Amino acid sequence: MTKAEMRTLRFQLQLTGLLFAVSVACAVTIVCCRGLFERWLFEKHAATYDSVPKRLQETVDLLRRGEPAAEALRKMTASDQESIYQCCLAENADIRATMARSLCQARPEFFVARAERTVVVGSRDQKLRAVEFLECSQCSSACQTVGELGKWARLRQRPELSQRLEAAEKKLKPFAKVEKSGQDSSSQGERGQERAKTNDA
Amino acid sequence: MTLAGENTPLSRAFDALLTRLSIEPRMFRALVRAFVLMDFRNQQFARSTATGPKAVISPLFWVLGQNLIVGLICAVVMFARVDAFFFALVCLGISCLMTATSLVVEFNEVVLTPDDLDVVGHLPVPLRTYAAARMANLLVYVLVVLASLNLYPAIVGAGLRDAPWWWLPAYSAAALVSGLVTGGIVILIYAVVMRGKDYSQSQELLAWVQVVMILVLFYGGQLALRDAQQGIQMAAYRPPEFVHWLPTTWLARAVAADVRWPVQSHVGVIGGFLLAAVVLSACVAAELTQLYGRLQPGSATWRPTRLRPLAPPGALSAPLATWLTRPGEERTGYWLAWTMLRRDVNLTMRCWPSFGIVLAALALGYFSSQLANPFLGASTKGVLSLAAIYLLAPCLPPIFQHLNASREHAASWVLRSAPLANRFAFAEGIRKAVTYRLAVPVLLLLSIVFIIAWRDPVAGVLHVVPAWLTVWAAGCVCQATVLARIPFSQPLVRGESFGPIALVCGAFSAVGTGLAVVHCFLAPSLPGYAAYLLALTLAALIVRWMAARRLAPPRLHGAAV
Repeated sequence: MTKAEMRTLRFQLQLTGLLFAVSVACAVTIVCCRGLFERWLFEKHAATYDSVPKRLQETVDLLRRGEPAAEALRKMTASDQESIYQCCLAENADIRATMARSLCQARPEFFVARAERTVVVGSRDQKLRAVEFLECSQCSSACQTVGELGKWARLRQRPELSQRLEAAEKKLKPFAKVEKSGQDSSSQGERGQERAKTNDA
Repeated sequence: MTLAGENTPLSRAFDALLTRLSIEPRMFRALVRAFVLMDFRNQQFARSTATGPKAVISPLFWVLGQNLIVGLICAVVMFARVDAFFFALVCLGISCLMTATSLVVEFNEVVLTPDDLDVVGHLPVPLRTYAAARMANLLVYVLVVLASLNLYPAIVGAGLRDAPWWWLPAYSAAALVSGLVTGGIVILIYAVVMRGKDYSQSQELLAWVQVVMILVLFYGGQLALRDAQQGIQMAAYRPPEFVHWLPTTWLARAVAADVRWPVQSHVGVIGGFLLAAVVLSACVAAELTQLYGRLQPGSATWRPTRLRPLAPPGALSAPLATWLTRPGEERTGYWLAWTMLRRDVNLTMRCWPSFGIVLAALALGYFSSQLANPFLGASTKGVLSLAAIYLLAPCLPPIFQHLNASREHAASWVLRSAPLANRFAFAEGIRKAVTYRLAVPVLLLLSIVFIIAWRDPVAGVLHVVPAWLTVWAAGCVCQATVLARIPFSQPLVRGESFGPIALVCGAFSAVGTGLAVVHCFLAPSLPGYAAYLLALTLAALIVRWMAARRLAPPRLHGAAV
């Protein structure tokens, strides 16, 4: 084929058509590899109970026992709080529930937002653990967040996650109502906990 | 395609339709065919794609390729990460932006073409037929650009988990409608508001939008994929407030079948956009037909490109530049390089992207918290703070290579015949223009970011000192090896911007990696760092001396006697 023939309209259109055909094939390949793309959707959680820095060990032990550690948490940097959160998600369900309650009572704005991010960007397992974290937090902001996440999950057509979030929202509702009406009084908090226990039962 | 058209029922029906519209079918076919061929051969994008008029692969082909790459990167970065609404919103927004810039760049070739007067002006082509052919050509151009921009989003988006089954046709229709509306608005603005004004400089700048967009998406995509905060997914989860007011948002909601919207809203948005597209198309057709009737020789395309006026040679107004350069050849070289960098938008746009990798490393390090202070100890979190400064030297060879070529290379005989006796001084002037005018602002930016990130001004400044020394040495190497004997004397050729300098770039990268390792281990110790800086200064002086020796004029036989 000569250069003159290559510069004809027919050849240029054929070349453009070939470019588009190859692009269609690439696009279809990408769609077929959706699983591969989804496999990379997770948060990097490096910290566990064993790997958490020694200066945080004492606080983590307190939190695992369900004892108040609000003062220590307030003094911590964001990266230390992040390590403690990751450590909490790596624990088993009981310890996670205990830690989540203490963490969210001390710094609700940080830990609720952090768990919300995990629900949005984490892997399936991380999402479910984060929902459980929010469910056990027993604070009103978590209830609102879980509600928003539930709407988002329904929109994104994730039935498993949206059902789990609905259940969590139901469990958290008493705390939201209590905090709205009673403005943080400890006795009402206890009542809320009792109601939650009743709901669980 | 033949001039007479194929004798098929469809073709006959089309001809009948054209005749009914008082359009000459045979002329219409011939004109459309010629216009499409000229679209492939037009040279508006030639400079940003480095393609000549005789190239087999036309500039338009490269532009379509660039558009496809933009769509590909966009789709890959967001696929499986965001919901269908956000995916459609971003892709439609980018599609509208790119369509608008393409139309502005090609306005004189695709929309208004006074050059046609030379070719068809003397032929008995009815104005109505000419206008119809031009409009058909414009439509084909917009469709091809839209197809290349939206091919990947349309197919990849259909694979999203929450995408409705009608995604492919719905997204394609939305892209078409939004593209037509954007095109209509751009053409009306240019045809009505900017009529008769010279906008060749802005056209040349906009021709680079595709290249810049690819760079932004490529580096931005990498940043997004490495972002520990997962900014894209969080933005999709909770989009910023202003997004809800964008017209593309309404279209994206309609495409993604947002259940928060009632059916009437979906229908209303689609109907509104369709109506806007029809009305705008009618306005464009009316306005352009009127303009075609008034075309006169000597309009915008024939106007010579306005260049920035030359400053008097040797009279450098800036005291800093006078202080930096020695009189004679060095000052001439500095003046020439800096003047060309200021006058030639194309040259400037070729040079600045070379620093993209440095800025990308800096941004990546800053936003992913990997910009640790190496003076506090060796850490893997400080890799990008070292990479950002040692990647600066490998940016210089492409810039020196760009200075060899110019679209005004035919005028280089002026330089060839100039009485420049000291070649090293001349090259030194060019090196100073590049390092002080291009590299120093980047170094200052690096220093400022390090100071902000570390909250330590001394460390921020000391950290970039080795970068300056490597830039100095690299500049000396480039002026001796990469810079041509006569700069700006070569034509722009595809592949020439990187091919010949691959070895130099590789050597700079290897040396830079070695220096980064040494820097990393010596930085925590003050005496060690001082010794490192001293060694680097000595090395730079030696390199400069070697460059001077290499560029020294050859000694004549018997001259030493």
